[in-house]
Amino acid sequence: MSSRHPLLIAAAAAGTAALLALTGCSSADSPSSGSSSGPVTITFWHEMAGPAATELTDLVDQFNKQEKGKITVKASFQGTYADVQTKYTASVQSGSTPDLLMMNDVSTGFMVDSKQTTPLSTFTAKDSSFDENTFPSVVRKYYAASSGGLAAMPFSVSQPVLYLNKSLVKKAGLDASKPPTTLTELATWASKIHSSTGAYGMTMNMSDSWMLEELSASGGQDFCTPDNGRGSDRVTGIDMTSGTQVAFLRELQALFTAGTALNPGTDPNVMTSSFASNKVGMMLTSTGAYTTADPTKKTSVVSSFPTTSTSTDAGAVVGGNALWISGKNHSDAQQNAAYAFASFLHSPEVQAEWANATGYLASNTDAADTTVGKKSLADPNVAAMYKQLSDTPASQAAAGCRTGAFPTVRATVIGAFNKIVEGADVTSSMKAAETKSAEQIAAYNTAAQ
Amino acid sequence: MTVSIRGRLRARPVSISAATTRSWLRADRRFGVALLVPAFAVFAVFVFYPLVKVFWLSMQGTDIFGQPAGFVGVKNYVTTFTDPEFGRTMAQTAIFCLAVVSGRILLGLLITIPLTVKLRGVPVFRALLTSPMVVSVSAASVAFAAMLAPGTGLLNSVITRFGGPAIPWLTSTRWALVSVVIVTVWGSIGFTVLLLLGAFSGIDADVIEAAHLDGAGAVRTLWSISLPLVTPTLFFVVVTGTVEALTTFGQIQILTGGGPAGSTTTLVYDIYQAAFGAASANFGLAAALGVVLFLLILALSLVQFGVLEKRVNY
Repeated sequence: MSSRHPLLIAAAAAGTAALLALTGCSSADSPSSGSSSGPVTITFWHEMAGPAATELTDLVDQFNKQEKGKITVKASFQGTYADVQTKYTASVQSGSTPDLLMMNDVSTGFMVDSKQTTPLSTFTAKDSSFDENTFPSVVRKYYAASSGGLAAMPFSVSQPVLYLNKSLVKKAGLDASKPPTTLTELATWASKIHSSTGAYGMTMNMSDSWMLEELSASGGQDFCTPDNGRGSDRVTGIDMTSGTQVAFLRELQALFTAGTALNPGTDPNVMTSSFASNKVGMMLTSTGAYTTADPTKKTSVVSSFPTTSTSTDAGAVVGGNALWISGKNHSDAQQNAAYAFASFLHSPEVQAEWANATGYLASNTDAADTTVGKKSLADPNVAAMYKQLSDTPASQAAAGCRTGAFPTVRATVIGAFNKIVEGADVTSSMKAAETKSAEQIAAYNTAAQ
Repeated sequence: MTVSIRGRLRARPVSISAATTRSWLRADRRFGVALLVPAFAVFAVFVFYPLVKVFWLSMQGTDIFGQPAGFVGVKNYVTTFTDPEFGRTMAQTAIFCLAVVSGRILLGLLITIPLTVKLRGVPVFRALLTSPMVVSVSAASVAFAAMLAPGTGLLNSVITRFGGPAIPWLTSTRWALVSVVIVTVWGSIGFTVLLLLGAFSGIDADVIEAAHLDGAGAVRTLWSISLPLVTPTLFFVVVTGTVEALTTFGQIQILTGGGPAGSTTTLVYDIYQAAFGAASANFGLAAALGVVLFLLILALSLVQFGVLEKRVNY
């Protein structure tokens, strides 16, 4: 054996290792090619799992069949909303953003600030068949673009509602057909249920501060200053210490410290399964939890979200997700194809199907007139959800806050609330959260410049 | 190849003559360097480069896409050290490490010592008690999350059945860290027991017999003979256990997500939060925290090797 061989082998190994490492570091997914004629293939990122993913795949197949030879949509599940925002930021850096992106409600501020997308109204203005009035007014307000019209295509819509466990309510001698309408009434009901059945009186989604934002809106109170970010100025802080807010926080604190309310922690599944297994009498959470909280659709009553103050601005902020059409580095053909798919998903039939399969509410009011829509609405619980959506005014409070720092701020506010439910002082805890949120928002605003 | 290397060594024994040391170009030197290159290349790419990059990133601002947005000096460090919650995070990290390491040592000894007795059936217990080792952190955390869940958890069902109060394992700022410690100790106890079993079985039987002949009882033998003889292993568990505890992530992520109210946020979790948590993408701040962690582990390791090692009977 020649004495040179080992040296060569070693050098080759080193070279290969270095090369492998280097190629691993440069993630150069080139943006999908943009020819203006011929069939177009577009990429679509989403965050749907379980039954919703199955339904979405069906819808994509349906669209691809319908547009055969013209448009092909390649849909891919990319993880949770937080994961996807991280992946999306990476794709912006490498210039490989998807043609169409599904993003959740609270990331709207970030998506607008990213300046990577083309506003939906750019396409709908050229499309005479599209009617923006088919969106519920509060949905239109939520996804409004600063230039007028809509920034993105609202796809899935959810609302916060009150769920009542029929059997526990009955055991407590209460009438589920006349549910509590204010938080104060709800607190009285919760205590009654707890004392007479031994079960928890109520629980609420505590994975982030969403319910607290909703309780603010249901008292006509803005969550962010100035003007919930709906005016001309960027959001610079949050408000959680107004009279209305301190009052409802104290009411909730009393329920938790007395052991009447169940703190479900960060996992919403724990909350819904506690409710479904008769361990909790009432639950404040999304309409989207309906199918897991009450699989038979017979054991619960869904009622409108409790109010915390009488105000004409009071309402429930919509949740859910919207579809964003990438502009930067995407050809007109790709953008138009992405719009074609997004408007297909908005059609009344598709929206009715989607709502029926997932528990979301249809973002197209015409969906109610379809066969599937009519069938869904026969369930009084579903009807109650839609009634709340159509009753909500397009007020500033009900439009909800818009800031790109929203996800970070939510973590801060729920942290303060976790201390409050253990007995910490309401005003000083929330004051501290306001200070920290203002810092977080300032840091975000600097980064977004 | 082996043959040829041996041949070389025999032909040219180590020489320290000036002529040979001066030139690295000599064939065997070249061969030595070539052997080092692959390992060095891998280290350079996966260790040295990221390390330098982290120091560099820690002095950069970050835009909303997580891209470096210009030199900001020590701003990220100032942000870190002026944050009132940073002190609490560090205190929680220290408490967590202390609790996990002492839990591993104490529980590990409590389990191992009875297992050193030569009795029928003991091997079965040995296998059973080291089995948590093969369960992944994620799987164990998911299982514990279900058992400790508020409302529907198995543990609280048992406690309330016997008339006790339901304990908010994961949802109370007083209990959450305790729960994470319990899960972490459970997960690492198997490996600790395995190490200690090895150490105890390595003790020379003659030494133990000599102690017995000198009239030492079981407790005395354990305290004055066995324990001092396994101190190298205990030292190893303390050092690796501390670093492991400092870098704990999976359990916290799955059980509590750093909450409630930040009560289970340790330094590593804080880094994750700054970089990826709540879509934050503040890589500059995360890098600064990473540097703090790096220096902390470095300092701790030096202290442990300097102080603890002196007390070890080899």
